[in-house]
Amino acid sequence: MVGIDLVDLSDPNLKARSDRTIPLISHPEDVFEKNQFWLLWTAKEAIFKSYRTNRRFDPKQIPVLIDPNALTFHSGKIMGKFVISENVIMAIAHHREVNPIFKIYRRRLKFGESDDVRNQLAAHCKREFGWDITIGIDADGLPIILSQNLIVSFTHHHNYIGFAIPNI
Amino acid sequence: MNREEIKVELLKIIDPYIDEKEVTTSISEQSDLINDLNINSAHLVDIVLDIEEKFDIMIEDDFISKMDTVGNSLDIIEEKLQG
Repeated sequence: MVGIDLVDLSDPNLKARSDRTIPLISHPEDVFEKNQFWLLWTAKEAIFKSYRTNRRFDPKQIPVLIDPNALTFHSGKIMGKFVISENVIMAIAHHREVNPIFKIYRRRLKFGESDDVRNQLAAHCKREFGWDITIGIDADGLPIILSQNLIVSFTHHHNYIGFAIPNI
Repeated sequence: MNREEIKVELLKIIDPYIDEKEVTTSISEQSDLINDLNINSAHLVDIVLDIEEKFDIMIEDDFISKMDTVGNSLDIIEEKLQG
């Protein structure tokens, strides 16, 4: 199972995170540093997506231990890492036995990010694996590559989109 | 403030976080902030901060898991204002 989440810090609608905001998302067992709101948030979202559940995302129910030096995190049997660039923080989470493939792209369209990221995934699969894929949903309404019966996780925020799939 | 007045203010708060404005024509209390209004989850905390500032209230820390729909968000704000 894999999950991906990203935040584009250039989004002008993002307010500054403060001491007030940490309690809104933190779990008593979280390990993180005070100024790491977005690491905590993206890790929790990525972990949640890796669960492949149709329950509601509740960051306070997901404990995360962040290693800021290695830019990695874990939560139970889920592990993950961060990829950080100037404006983007991305977290990729996966079960230990899964080696994920993930990509992020700058959005090409102002709207329709869902189609945009699916088209990028289709192009990637064609280019890398020679697959002509169809993306659908599983019984829980979560995205899946139908032709390969392969789970997929999508993310988008502001100017960026991304996907993750297990490496087979 | 009555519920309708709170709703008007809440919709003003969430409007900037809605990219595709056509969905705003059909907002109801049943509208799901993420699945129906396509609000990015990264903005849920921004909405909490805006609500606290606008209504001068302190929202409970577990609000994010409860603010799934417009109506449920209204319930919590209404309860806080009455409390």
